[in-house]
Amino acid sequence: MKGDAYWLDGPVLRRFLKQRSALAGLSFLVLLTVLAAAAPWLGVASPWEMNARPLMQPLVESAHWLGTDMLGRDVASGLIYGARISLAVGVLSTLATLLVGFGIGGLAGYSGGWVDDALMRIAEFFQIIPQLVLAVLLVAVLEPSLASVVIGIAMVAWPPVARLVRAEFMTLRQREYVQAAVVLGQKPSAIIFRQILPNALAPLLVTMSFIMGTAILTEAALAFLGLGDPEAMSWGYMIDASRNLLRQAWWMSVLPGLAIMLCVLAVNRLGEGLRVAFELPDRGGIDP
Amino acid sequence: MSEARQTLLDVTNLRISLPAGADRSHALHDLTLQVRAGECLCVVGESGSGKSMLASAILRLLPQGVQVQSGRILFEGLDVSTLSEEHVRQMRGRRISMVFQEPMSALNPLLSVGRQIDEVLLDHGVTLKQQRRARVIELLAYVGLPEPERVYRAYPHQLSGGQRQRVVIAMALAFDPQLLIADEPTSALDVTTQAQIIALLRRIQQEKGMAMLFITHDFSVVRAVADRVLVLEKGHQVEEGSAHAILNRPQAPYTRKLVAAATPVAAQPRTLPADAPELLAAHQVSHGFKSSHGWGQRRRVQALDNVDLRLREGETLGIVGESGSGKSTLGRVLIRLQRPDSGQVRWFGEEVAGLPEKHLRARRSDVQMIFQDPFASLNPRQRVGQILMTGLLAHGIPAEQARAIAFNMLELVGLPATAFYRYPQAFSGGQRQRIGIARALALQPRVLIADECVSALDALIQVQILELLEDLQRRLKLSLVFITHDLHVAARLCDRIAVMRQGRVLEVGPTQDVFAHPTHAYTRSLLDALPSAPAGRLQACPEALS
Repeated sequence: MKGDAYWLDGPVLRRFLKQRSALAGLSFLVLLTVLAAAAPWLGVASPWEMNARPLMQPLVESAHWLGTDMLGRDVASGLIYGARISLAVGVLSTLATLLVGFGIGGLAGYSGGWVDDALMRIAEFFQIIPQLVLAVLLVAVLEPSLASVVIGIAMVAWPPVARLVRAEFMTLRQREYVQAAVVLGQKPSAIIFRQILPNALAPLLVTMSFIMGTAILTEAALAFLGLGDPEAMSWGYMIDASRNLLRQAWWMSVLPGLAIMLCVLAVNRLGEGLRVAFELPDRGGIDP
Repeated sequence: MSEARQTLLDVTNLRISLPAGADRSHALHDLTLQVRAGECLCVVGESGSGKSMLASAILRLLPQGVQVQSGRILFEGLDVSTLSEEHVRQMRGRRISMVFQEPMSALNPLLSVGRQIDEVLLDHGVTLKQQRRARVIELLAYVGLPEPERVYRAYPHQLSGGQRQRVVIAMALAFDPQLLIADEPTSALDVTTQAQIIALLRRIQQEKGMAMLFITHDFSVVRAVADRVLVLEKGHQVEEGSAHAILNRPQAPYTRKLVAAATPVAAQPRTLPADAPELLAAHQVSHGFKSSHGWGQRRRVQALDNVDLRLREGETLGIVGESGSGKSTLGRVLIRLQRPDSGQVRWFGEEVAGLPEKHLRARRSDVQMIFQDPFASLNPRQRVGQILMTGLLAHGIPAEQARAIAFNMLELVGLPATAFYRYPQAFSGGQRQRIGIARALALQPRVLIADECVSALDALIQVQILELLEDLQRRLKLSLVFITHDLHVAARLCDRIAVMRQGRVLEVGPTQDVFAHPTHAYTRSLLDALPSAPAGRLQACPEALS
């Protein structure tokens, strides 16, 4: 059927394009992704290369316009390569979180009863442990690497998603149109994916943007604590490396800090923009 | 009604503008009306006719963005728009008070009802505590609440809907106002409760010599209370006159349609062949719900108690009852959205009460349902075409064929083919209910269960949907279970009626018999509660039968 998907439809796209801050967030993220992904081909030097005078100020030499760190590594290329890890962790751990949160929350909300009780007790167990402590513990046990960071973040971030999905499923399951689908003989899997899910999308998108923001922050925190992927340059690592030189070389910590902030902000604006775009118009209709 | 009576409320050429982007420019268009002391003026109109805006304008409580553009509202000779804020506040509650549609939201759930009435008195300067308390008890007793001392301490949720509305009325009467504005005060109530509240308002009005501005959409209510009637359509005044004249000789075509919609039409008595097979049956069905009363107190509410019912081919069976009678649960059990605790449910002779959903799915195409709320029963994220094809695709019909059937169904229920590509939000309530009907019919069911399928619609749209159902039933040879709280609707459509109360079926019989010779006292009270009893009409105008 033509134009089957609701989100490819005119009004949703139009409502999204109307929001300046969401568009700005989207453009920032797209630009960052392109820069990060194409870095080796754009002639950006390796962020580990020590080929310049150490502690060079920004905007002094055009070859190193954002300055260098104490080992003479270029800050600009550090930021660009750091974006790779931040974005990868952000996207991958959001997907992993959604997968876990969705499976558990959906199962709990759709089946109810003792399954629901058991799964929610497990979720609570994860929620009573401070998130960062648990993430640090998991990454330390699993050996720091991209995969372990993603797993660590997903393991601490899934309970709120599961709770939200469960709540959405429970209310939506009572809706008359879902009941109508049961009466029409639609299979449970089809009911979940065609009737319930599209209607649970708006709140899920907002949570997704929060998760992604938190994931980027958590990754930075882990890297700052020395638990990042040792092979990859990351923003958290850059701040960690600069912390003894805060007074002598402010740019070494301020610039990656700004990068983290802008990135999280962009993700949040994008999520908010999507939520507004997906919101249903009021009940009103036209009279016959 | 003597003309010499003093004019209490005088509205001249009132025009209320709506903010830009609303579906029309004005909520009210040059409305002129007078309410004289001691009389009841009914303002009648469908939803969106601007009737509630009138009440808000009189009390100067119009929402943001909505304003009086021109015209004048005089109350006791004073122009309401020129009064100071403090003066208006004094006027509200003392001289004019209001009764709302939904008593639960008009009351504060965290305060006892006595306290809430007490506060009204306090706000208007009755400082003596003893005096306030005595007055509150007096008011509660006056509106017919039993044990006013106990009700004084009760919280809104501990009272029934009718009792809550009595409390709201008591509150409105605190200072014996000159004018009572009642905005759909009975629409949220059951028929019997509705009749009691109307009788109460009528009594109060006569005893206190108070004027009443009664806003309603329901002509059967008008018949019971009005001295004079004013009909509104989309903000325009259509007709005004004495209740007698409007009800018996409506002039404007719109009024005529409204009056006709409220006049019961009897079903054509049909004789079913004696050997018509039984399609649906409930045998000794019982079902209960757990309800929690806080602090671990649990109680079981018996929603269905040994219900026996059967539906024969070609027949329309009405299930009538007030809210909480278990009629909707029965509908859900019959369609097997709910598995009953005990008893048998048979579809075409086959026992399905305990059948798992997996096995039931293939059999579902024969029994379909039309839902109550046309706004909640259509998935807002799917196009109408997709909604209509859902059932067909689920039953393995190829997409091309399903598409063709969906277009046929749209035509069948009187919607344009272009509806196929649009989302439900683009349609009005009546059109949405047509889509719901089309969805149910797409599977070519033999039995249709309709749960309150017109109660969320305006009177005129109700008639259209009922006519559509009647027509479809004749053409498609459908058998119908029609669940409703409205005896008028049941009388119009049903061959047989089952009256339910507290989970039990009190009596079942052919519609005419039940209406003419009800055997159960409760059925009689239901019939008496009707502002105009259809039984009398059935006998009075036999031509309505043909």
